[in-house]
Amino acid sequence: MPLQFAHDDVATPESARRARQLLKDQQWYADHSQELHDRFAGFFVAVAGEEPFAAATREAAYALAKQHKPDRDPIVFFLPKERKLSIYGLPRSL
Amino acid sequence: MVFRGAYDNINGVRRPYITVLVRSRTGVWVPLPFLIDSGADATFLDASCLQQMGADAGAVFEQTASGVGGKAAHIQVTTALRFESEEGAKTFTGVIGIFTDPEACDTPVLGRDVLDSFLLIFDRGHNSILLLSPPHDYEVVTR
Repeated sequence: MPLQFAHDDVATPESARRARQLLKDQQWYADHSQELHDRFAGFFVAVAGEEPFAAATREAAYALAKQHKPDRDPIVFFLPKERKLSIYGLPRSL
Repeated sequence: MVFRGAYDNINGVRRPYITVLVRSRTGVWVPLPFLIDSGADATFLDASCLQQMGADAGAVFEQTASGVGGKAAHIQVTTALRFESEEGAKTFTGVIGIFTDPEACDTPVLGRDVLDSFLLIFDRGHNSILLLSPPHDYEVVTR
């Protein structure tokens, strides 16, 4: 069964808090993405509490961030060595 | 409800992302950054997510998906996706594909199987990405 809408839920204090934190970290990554790429290209970077934690694998980056920020839910981004233009129907690299 | 994404910017190429919670096989909700891809028919995770999602190779099967620079093998897992905002949460359940080849894709991709449940606004001018769900709506005005 493909993904389908299941249900809506009212926000709880916990879910609202988590949503705020994830939004902050998401925006922090967006604002610092070039700098993070310059430092960590080729690595996975977990963002938690507006701080980066880099490692070679997604799991390692997540674990590193949890170790330093146990009360946060880290968002792990992969920073490719080279960001290429992506267009459907064409080869991946132009 | 309003769910907000963000544009990153690497080497002048800006891409739209949104963080979505994905339920692993052990029931842990993991936040993953999804590329918002209105050109993608379906939502996929990249190969780096296999271990964290606890994908069980014995319980899934392989098919091929095309359109990601060619055909790419993937496995299918049953999971849930959860969008959270301060107003509330929206959950989707079903089967999702996870690419098995790291070269196929380097980021989770959010496709129209999920996006079609939202009103999607890309506003580069205001550096804003919004996924709207009732009671939130939009109106086109003349300024």
